[in-house]
Amino acid sequence: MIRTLIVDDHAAVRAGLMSILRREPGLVPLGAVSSAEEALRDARRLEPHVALIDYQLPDGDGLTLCRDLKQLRNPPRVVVYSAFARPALAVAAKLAGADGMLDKGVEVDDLFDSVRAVGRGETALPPLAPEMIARCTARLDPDDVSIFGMVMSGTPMEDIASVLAVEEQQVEDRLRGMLRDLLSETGPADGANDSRPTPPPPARQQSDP
Amino acid sequence: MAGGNRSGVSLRTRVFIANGGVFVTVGLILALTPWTVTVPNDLEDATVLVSGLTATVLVNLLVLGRAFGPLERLTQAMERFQPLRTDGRVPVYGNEREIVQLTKAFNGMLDRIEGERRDSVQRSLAAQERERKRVAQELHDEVGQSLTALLLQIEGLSRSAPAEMSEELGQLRDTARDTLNQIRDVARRLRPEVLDDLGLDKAIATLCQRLGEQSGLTIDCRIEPVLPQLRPEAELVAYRVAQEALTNALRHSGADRVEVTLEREGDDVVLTVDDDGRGLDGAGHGSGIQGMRERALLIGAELGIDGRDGGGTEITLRVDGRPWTVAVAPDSLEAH
Repeated sequence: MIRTLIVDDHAAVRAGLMSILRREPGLVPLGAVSSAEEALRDARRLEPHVALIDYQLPDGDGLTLCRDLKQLRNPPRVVVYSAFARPALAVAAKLAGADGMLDKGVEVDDLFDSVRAVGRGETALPPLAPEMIARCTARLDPDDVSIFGMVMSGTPMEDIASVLAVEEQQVEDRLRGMLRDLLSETGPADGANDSRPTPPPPARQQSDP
Repeated sequence: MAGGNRSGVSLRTRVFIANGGVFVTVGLILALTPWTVTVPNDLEDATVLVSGLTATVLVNLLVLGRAFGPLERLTQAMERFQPLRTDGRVPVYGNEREIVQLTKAFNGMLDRIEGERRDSVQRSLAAQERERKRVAQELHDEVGQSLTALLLQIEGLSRSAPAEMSEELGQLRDTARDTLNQIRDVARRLRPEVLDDLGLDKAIATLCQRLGEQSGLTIDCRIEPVLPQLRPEAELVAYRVAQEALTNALRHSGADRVEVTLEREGDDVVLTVDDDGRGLDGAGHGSGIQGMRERALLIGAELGIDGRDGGGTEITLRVDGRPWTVAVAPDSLEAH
């Protein structure tokens, strides 16, 4: 029996998930909530095995919620279930310590399989392309890159803290900062959207000595 | 390039001096020589009169011709002038003060017009990208979520519904799933997240693959493995140019095959979209090309359009690929 908590701000999605999970043998939906705050409250009280959380929440994002859930005494396994299709989300999910990530367009049977796998202690994250990790690295504060690399290679938090000789809380804070950096809306459209004129010959590093 | 040693004398003064000189000379000749002009004209008087007038007219013609020659060349240069090209400035002809000033004023006006134009193009393209992003996000967040919910509910229903309904429910589910995929496709076209997350090369490869699948045409996509990373603005411009050029090729040109290349040439990154369609003698000449030019101008890139009549179209975008300082980027990278 895998006890599952559903977190999604869309009422019809909550209803749909409840109805299919209820009918699926071996899976027990404990309830469905619409915000990060309720999710933390219910997770503390109900101690689900798996939390199935949307990325977009009215009071935050699913990955920050994932970090918060992982701080609980009996942390649930976390599956990020999102319609937010950015490839970088997979990297961010791994960084946030999520155990699985699913696109909302997947077949229902795949959803069940992933929840079961994660409930058993396996992971269900999509493969991360090296160039995606490279691009994400470029978006981070250079000071954070070493932590990022360790998390990506699966080093536990306490080991990272001891390698860097800092408190675990500091690593946690840096991790949350990185999540913000990764998921802030980057892109040229934003670059062009302020009134700051960009001169046509781009600013360049002086290569001359 | 000021007007040289004659620049102090204005055109008006020089015409005045030349004309005045001729009149004074004629006057002196009449006063000091035996030549005279009397009322009952005889042949001698007529000769004096005609040669005097001819001399006046010829000297005038010569002086004015020399003075206004540069003006004509300036006019021709202005007529040849192409907007949307940063290199088009009129050279200074001659060294007449008025002409030099006029040329400078004209070039100055071009600078101001282009500056204004660049700003307004930048504003409108930025507004367009913002709007596309907003629509894409809403499609994802609102419509996509509702369709997901619909799908889940159909799934739930089909698991408890009587067997004779399962086929119809299956069809319903397939329709909902197709619609969800279409919505996502539209959102992706509006705002290519893959560009931000995986870079220009992967984004263009994905674009070629998707458009190829949708249209059934052969899109031959050749991307050099290691390319310099462009500024985010430049990546977006290159992506939009590729998107527009491919859409034109697929929709209007009647091409059978399209070749897309992205490669390094010296310091530049060059995007080429080459089709074997009917060239630019028609539909392709619309606002799409104007849009590509405007976007290229915005990042200081060079856009080449080679529309061979009946022999396909080749669109080339050449972007400076030298390293750029991150220092210009951070606040432009941050979202609202």
